Amino acid sequence: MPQTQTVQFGLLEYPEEAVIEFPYGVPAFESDTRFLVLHRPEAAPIIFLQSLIHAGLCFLTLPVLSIDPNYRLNLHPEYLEALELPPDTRLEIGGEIACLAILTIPPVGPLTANLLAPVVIRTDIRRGVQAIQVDSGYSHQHPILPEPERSSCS
Amino acid sequence: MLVISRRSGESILIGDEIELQVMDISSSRVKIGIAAPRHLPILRKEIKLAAQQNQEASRSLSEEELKNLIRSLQTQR
Repeated sequence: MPQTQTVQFGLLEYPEEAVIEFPYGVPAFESDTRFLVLHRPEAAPIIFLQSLIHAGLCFLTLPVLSIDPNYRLNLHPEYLEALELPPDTRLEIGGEIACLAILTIPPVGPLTANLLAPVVIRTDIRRGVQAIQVDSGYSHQHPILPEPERSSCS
Repeated sequence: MLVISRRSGESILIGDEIELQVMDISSSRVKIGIAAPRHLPILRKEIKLAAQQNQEASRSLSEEELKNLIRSLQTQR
């Protein structure tokens, strides 16, 4: 099995079929075109998105539907094309379409999820994009946990 | 913020080197043509927002921080 060195998990073995290709990387990390989606039982419900290009790049995510059960995808044709889908496709989350929201954990301030730009993955062909949902009204800083709740747990 | 009304085909000049032209207007969309010096980056604002947010989200957490985060997410659900 291939291995990769990571900051978060140390040396990581992974099956090649666990690799998701991001043809455009993600904004600010355009060269990070290969990621692993990692579920760790001890870290549930968090899902990790570990870059295979940069050992230190590991996003923390949550399934978008666990944040907003009514979340709707409305992808611009250029994102659909990156996922090898026809330009008029209406995507439903579930089945072969996974949708993750990247979390931001600032040193101070509330934990937020980026619902404006979810990571959309076609698990059948293992391709992903971070799709900016222009005009959707979703926030790139959707609050998840209020700050006091978080510090009271430490 | 300065607000100016323009019709389709009309332009706005910013300084000597930047021209914004309204190319087309439909009910929910405006097509804008931009003439600007090559060295000026032109970005849709939401891409910049996504990039900044990803930069912030990429901060590595200490083990302690991660543990606390997982605990509070688990108790919340």
